[in-house]
Amino acid sequence: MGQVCAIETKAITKDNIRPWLAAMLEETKVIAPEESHGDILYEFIDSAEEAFLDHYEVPPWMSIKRFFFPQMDTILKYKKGPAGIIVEPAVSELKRVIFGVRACDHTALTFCDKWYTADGLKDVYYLKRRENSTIINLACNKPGKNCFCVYADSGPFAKTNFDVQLVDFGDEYLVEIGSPKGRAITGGRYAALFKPAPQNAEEKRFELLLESKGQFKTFVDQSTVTDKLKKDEVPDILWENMAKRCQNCGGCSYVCPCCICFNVVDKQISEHEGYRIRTWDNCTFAGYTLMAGGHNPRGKQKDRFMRRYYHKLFYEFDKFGERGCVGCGRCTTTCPGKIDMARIARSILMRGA
Amino acid sequence: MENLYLPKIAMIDKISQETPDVKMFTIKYKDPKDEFHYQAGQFFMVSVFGFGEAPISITSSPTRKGFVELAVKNAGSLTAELHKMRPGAEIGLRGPYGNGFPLKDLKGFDLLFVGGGIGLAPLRSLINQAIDEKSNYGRIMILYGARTHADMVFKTEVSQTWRKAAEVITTVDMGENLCDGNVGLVTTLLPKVKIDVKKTKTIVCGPPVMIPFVLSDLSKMGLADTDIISTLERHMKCGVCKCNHCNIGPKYVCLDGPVFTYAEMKLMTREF
Amino acid sequence: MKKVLTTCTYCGCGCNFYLQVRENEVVGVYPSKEHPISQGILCVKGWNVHEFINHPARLKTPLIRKNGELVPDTWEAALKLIEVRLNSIRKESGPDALAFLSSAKCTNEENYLMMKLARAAAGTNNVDHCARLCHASTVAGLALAFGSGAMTNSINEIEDCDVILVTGSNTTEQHPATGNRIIRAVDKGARLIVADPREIPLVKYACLHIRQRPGTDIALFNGMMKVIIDEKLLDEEYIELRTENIEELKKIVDKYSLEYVEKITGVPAADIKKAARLYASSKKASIIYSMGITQHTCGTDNVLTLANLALLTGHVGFPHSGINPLRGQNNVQGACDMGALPTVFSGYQALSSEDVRKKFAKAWGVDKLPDKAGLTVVEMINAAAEGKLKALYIMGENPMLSDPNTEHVEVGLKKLDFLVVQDIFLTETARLADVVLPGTSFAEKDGTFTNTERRIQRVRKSIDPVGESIPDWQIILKIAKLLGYDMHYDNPSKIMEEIASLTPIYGGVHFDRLKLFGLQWPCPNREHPGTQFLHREAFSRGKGKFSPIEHTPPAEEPDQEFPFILTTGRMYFQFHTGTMTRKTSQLHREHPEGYVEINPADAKALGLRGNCQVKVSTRRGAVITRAQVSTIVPEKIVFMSFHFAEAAANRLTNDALDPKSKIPEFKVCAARIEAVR
Repeated sequence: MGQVCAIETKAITKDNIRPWLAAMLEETKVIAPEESHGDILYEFIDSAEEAFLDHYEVPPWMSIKRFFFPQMDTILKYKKGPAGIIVEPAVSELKRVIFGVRACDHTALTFCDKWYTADGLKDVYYLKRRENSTIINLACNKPGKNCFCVYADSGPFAKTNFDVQLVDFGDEYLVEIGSPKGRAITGGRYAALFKPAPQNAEEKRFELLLESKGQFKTFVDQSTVTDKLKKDEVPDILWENMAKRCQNCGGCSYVCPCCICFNVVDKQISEHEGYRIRTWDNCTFAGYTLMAGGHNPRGKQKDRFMRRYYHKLFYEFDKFGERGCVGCGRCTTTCPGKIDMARIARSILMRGA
Repeated sequence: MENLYLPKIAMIDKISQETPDVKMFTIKYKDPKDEFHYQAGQFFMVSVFGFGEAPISITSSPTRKGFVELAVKNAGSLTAELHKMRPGAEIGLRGPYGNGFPLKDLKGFDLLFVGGGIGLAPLRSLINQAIDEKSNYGRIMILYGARTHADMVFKTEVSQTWRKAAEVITTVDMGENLCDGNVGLVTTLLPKVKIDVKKTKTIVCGPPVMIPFVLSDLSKMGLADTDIISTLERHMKCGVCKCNHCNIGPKYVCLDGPVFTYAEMKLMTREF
Repeated sequence: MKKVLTTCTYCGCGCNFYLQVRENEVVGVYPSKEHPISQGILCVKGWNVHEFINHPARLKTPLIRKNGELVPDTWEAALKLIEVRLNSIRKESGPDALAFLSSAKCTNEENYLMMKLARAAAGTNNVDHCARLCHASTVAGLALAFGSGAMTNSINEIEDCDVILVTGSNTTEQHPATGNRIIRAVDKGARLIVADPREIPLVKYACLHIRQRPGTDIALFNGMMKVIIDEKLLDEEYIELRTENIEELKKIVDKYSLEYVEKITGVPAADIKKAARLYASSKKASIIYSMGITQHTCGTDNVLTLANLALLTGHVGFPHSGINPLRGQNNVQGACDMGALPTVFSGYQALSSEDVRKKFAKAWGVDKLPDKAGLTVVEMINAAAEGKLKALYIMGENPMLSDPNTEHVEVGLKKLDFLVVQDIFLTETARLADVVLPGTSFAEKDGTFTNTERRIQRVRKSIDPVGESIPDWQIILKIAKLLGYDMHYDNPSKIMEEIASLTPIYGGVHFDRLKLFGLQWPCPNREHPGTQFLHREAFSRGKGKFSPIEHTPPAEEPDQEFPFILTTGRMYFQFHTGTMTRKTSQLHREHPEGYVEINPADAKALGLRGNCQVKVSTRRGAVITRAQVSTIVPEKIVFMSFHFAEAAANRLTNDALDPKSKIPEFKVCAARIEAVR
């Protein structure tokens, strides 16, 4: 039977989802998928009506990464006064619930959790936001055309570590509660919206999972790719040919829910005050490793490109036991050179010795 | 939760012009309660507010308390701004970060330092510590090469102070060497020292073009790869292994380094 | 946090993205996945567009020059000064002593108002904008050949071409979304011909790279046409039915034998033949060009020559076949469409037509409108230098970096009695102004941009104006009032209604119809769905017209004193004069400074090492920059970008003009390179 790491299960009728969101909105900020000009996007909603609850091709465009690790985030402010320089940190304290998170993005968060706490060094900006968020997963009954989470072992249903996971049973959702935070938004004043889980829930969940797994169209055998990288079996010419097609847009890492590289720069408001921001960065940019004296240890596009894939599939796997790719397929959409994860993996599998 | 990215305010106490483009800054924390605890080979993330943050290796010895010295080459917008500052100016410090030199492993050995240009800065920290704790070590030998005589840093120490406790030989790439006359790359100094390869550990730092040549020459002299130690430099944004910039393969210069043995470096043959 | 869908402010591709807003600050951006151009993709500039919007260096108050210094002041004081100065200059020296530079960065509505301000309020046709510097020759040339000066196809059509001829366009760097379609086409089997002296990134995907000497495009394409005629690869039926003047063309082209062309262009005869055959024998063949064609003293003739080539082979008027000038700025197409030009009203309605003038005068409630053609960009600077032009009002342009022969521009601007600059940052030009007015960025206002494929798209306000800045359209209304002419609009949609009522090609354009992804003009009425490609059954002017063109050499050719050809252009990570991109950390980090590209053989001959300092000089000036030794440029040709004020390429460029369209010759001048010791 499908292994379920829920501490409690309930059910909620689809009609009760909006009332549930409305009730949560009275207490906290809520982020949910929203429809805008044909795109499905995670955004803060002001009313439950704004949430998009119909079927759409998963995953929503742009991951939830930006709510934890914003594209441009002020990390401190400084002022130069008569008593010298005063530095003040700027840490977000906003509490929020994120509704409708897919297993890929959820797994990516657990990957980021590991990154941002690794080596006993804790990133307060990320972890505060993490602490202040409750996440409601929505399991995927039907994968999107670029999805390959099932091969990245990160979906289509989240296995563990979630606060709440909803599984679409047709008229109602099975509600799997996985943490005290999950209990808080399904019990207490919210309890009346829920009912007991149906009798055959476990069987039905298992069937839906199998059905979903059977529908993946993009096949990416990540573990073989990792093996080939470890054994150094991928010929340089493959990297070279792929790297040539890179258009330097940075999109792959901007859309990637596991990409955590950042740059830090200061902005001066005046001679006497300013702020320090951190922004998303991308290891495929030449300036990423360029040193002040002009030396660039990764001066070649090919080396930078290899670095990206070695990190995601090899080094990070060795360090955390998880790859820096959860199979959300967003880079397939955004890469103008068509050298995204799925295609690279496929070429490595086909041509890598 | 401690905020890793919050610098402590520090004050420039003294500035000495080492070469036309290198200055040494003596820095103290603004809050007298804050103390410096560091090891030779570590670095600080230095904030020049309005211009950002950069990793700068420590050049003072941990045996000399109450301040830290940083030798900085004017090479970019942040360092240019730092060079404009006067004593009393405030900067930010985070750290110290990095593994530092493996003092435990060095104890009881002869130490051969090979430095090039501003690369002498991180070595100076250990050199002065070794001199201050001379009983822990055997011979101390220092080979130093600079582009010209004017580009030599720490001239008083190189030409006088260190010579009292250590064997010092210098060279310049071009022009006249007013210290001891040698002209040529720093590798040409290696045959001039007689070392017992079983009893010697070498510590190397210099520009990226120099390091591979020195390391391979030392290796040819019969030194074990684990006895050749170098400190590396990479573009770095956080110093705490979060920004992901400074990796060499699976290793991070900020956390696993900046000090590596030649044996470790040989495993990092590929740059990605 | 909220998100607002809007149109990109950089190039003319017209990608749509969502700006992420938190507490009235733009903090992020991501592409629209469903938008027909973006499709979930942006270039690096698009992906970083959020950073300059709330940059601390934004102008937040008006500045007035006092004792030589620009100092912050109130709107009242700034407007009062403008009122006094403009009115007194107009009274003393007449309306033509005033001139207005409109902006291809601003919205259609703002450009329309600027043109109305010049004509109805100030009473002069001295209104122009930077299209003069990029595609004036396209507007002139294609209007002559087809009757309409715009991209004939849509960006997405490129994907299904059989053959694509790219000339004078570094498409993947300057129009990334369009470049992406070219790559997709090649992936699908299309053959790509690149005709460009530089080895641009697209060459990797090309089956043929032609490296003609800069300024010899006419000879090259005439040579191709001769091959096509001699080998009977021309489309006789199309020529018969849809074109005129073929015999004149044949007469001229006949002398462009392969030997003759090879001598002029330096292109091997076999390559010319191959290109001609490839292009002529495919059904779906498209020409894509940009400033490498237009920025010459023979710019209009270059465009006409490409038009000849397309007409000769029946390659205009179909999906996937056409001539496609890629417009450089987000709204340079729109600024032209709006008539921010000295000879036409909106929709290219000729100033010379009395009926047109009467129509606009009536609609605008003025007795009559000036009928004398106004000055173009470079002519304005010349007139200023000669003391004939007294006051210049510049909105969102930076001629101190973007115009040729900077030293002369500076002389002209400094000679003016009164210079007003309306911009978002204190640009090199604004530093010379008497009054600087803080306008708003694209994120702080509503309106429309028209992209290079004629798609009119919404620009949506995401945040309130920064500081005391005011949306540019509202500033224009204030200025008009100072000049004694009242205009009133509640919002930009009302301006568009007026535009639609007066402009046939925009006749059906209303904000309520632009909710999704815009409309492509011509769109004559409310029911019209817009036009995907032009000249379907007939040309706008009826028949396509062949114009026989002879090769003419550039205004300045290399000689002993200045032995190199200097050609200029742009780089991927920067945009134009760097006003926005240089304030974006990621972009600036990737490309922080200018350089001159020089071939290794030339570098060796001059004793230059990579990255060393060099002095590049021409008859107009000299700059010090870094040498980038690279085979991207052929021997005897050097290349510089014009983004960087500290190594400003336009101190060097030639301000010689194309007599037909008044576009300056940015692409060719004679230069000398010396090592700096």
